[in-house]
Amino acid sequence: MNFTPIVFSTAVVGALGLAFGIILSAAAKKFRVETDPRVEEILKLLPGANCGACGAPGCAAYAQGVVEGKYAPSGCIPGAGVTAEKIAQILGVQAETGEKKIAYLLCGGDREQSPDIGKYEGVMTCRGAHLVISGMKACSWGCIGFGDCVEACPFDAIKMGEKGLPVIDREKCTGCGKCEQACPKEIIKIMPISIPLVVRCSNPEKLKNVKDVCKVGCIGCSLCVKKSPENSLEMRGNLPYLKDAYPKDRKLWQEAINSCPSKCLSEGA
Amino acid sequence: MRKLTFKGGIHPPEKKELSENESIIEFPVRPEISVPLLQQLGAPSKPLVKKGDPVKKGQMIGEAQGFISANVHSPVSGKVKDVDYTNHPVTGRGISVTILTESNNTPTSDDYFKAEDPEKLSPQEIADIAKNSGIVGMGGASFPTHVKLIPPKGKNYESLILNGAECEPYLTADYRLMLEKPEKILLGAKLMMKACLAKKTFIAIESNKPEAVREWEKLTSGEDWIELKVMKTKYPQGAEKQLINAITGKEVPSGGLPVDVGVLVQNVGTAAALYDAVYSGEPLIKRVTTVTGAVKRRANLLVPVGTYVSDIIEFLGGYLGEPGKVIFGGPMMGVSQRTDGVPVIKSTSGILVLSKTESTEKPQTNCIRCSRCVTVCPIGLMPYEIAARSETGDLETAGSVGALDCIECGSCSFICPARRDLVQLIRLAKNKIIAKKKRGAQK
Repeated sequence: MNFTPIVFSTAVVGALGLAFGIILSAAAKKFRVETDPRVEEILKLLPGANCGACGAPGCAAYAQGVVEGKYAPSGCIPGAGVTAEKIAQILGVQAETGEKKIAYLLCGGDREQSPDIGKYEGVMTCRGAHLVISGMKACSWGCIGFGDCVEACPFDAIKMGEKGLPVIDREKCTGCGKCEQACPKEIIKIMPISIPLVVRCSNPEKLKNVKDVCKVGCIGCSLCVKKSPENSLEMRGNLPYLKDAYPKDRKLWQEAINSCPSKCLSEGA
Repeated sequence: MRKLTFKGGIHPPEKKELSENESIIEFPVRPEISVPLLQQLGAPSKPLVKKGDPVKKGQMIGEAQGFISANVHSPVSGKVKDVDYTNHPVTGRGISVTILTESNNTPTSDDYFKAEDPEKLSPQEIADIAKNSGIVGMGGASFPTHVKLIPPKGKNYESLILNGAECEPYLTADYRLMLEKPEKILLGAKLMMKACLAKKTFIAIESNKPEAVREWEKLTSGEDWIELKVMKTKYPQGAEKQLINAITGKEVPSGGLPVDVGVLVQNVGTAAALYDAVYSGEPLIKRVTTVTGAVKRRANLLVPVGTYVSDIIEFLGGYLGEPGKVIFGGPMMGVSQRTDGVPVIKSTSGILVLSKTESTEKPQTNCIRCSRCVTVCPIGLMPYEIAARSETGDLETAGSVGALDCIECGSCSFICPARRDLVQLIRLAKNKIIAKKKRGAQK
């Protein structure tokens, strides 16, 4: 058998490979683009959901931006405090870690409490139903329950409950705010996880109008405001709202929560 | 006469025979009415009265807020029962002024501000009267009239089109108005033409209204400022852009307004409302509405704004069998209601009751790519494509294939053999794209 062609071709290809290898390595040295190794490191820390909650178009852009100083180290909302600290470590700065925030549904009117008064036929999404005179549910302000928020959640933290209200998983929820944007009724709000009081109603109407459409709607009686510690609750329109400063101790809030005749107040998650 | 039309469109059963021979009846004022403060496209009006206040017929009870908004007036004399949320035919719930009519509901036309010499009004004065009287487009979209009456700076109107096409099935309100009050429309149109500085006026009537065509042939013969145009009977012939295209041959550019091609389109009802405001000083407080479908008696009524549908149905002898759907407007673009406890507003061109059997929905199936929606789309879009993108949430592509150009006429949904909710999906995409843009603008 004649081995010459094999040896010859192997030698040629090997020589070519070697030559190109040398050229390439020389080029890599010569045309090297300086990148900050910290960008890579930070990118590895990020959750990689590309949720956009930080304001950057994606995790990579945030990593780049945070090194350049465009975004704060605590900017990654899904990553929360842990990520912020690690990022701050890499950058050698002190991170201002805020408290973890999660999504809260401000409606307690499930199908039993606020039934449908019309039959909806059409695209089975909340926004689709909302576009037709605010949907078919008795309460025009409440949750429609077709799960636009479930669909929108990049972290699989929202599940549709049995009675037609979404249930938010406090562990999985990162507070990115995608559900807040998806909800056509604007009744999902991102709030601190430790919040002592949540008003599970968004109906701004008066007593009778609310009672007509929902059993657990806020009737605007303002009892909770009277029982609130340090007067840190106030009525705006017909709904109670927490003032900017409020005592965080949940025990102090029990009385206010229990005072609600419609049972539409609850503790935070 | 050659019948003018546009490309695409559909031929739904007209059903106008149900009510077209009923003359307009003035609907008696009910003891309680509820006047919504949002009766126009744009921002809701600011309430000017509070609980317990006495109000007079024609008194302004809501003031326009912002550029695109309109004034609201009380259609009756009485007392304000409450200013609170009530059922609203478009938004579900909305702030309304509920008024208890007093027994001595005498017309207070003395209080109305009449124009002294209507012939001598300047364009701006005419627009101001339209604004003060709360006149909005009466065709259904209820765009405030004063906003588009005066052309924006740097643009001008060449022609005015009076829209009497009434292409929605069932509805006959404009038709009756054109037959019974043509002089109002004619004089109203003259005022409009003067205000918008157009050189020529066209009145567009669909060929399925031969009596109106005959009437208006008489009225327009010998007049050189106005010309009758007979349109082919096809849906959506009365849509603004389609009408402009059929009559002038011009096409409103994507994202543009009719003023970009120098045309102003106004409904015949709006012209009549402007006539009333100028010649008798009466603001827009009542309108002609067709009540048809599964009701004991079908009628064309002159209804005070704010009258509850339940009162109207009662007046007409009740429902015919079990009602399935109550629709404000026509069957193609109308809004299906949740209850009959909703008030009539300025844009309510019709109240259509469909029986249970008529309104049962058949299940939808997958798109079979027959492209019939593409054939009928009057804008020339690909409804199936936009709908599919809307379903998967691909807003970028939906926008790039023209979702925002859709006029929501519903021709695609009507023709779809798979009964897909095409127009609904497109509306959904439009809504999401606009919401996203707004969020972007806020940041």
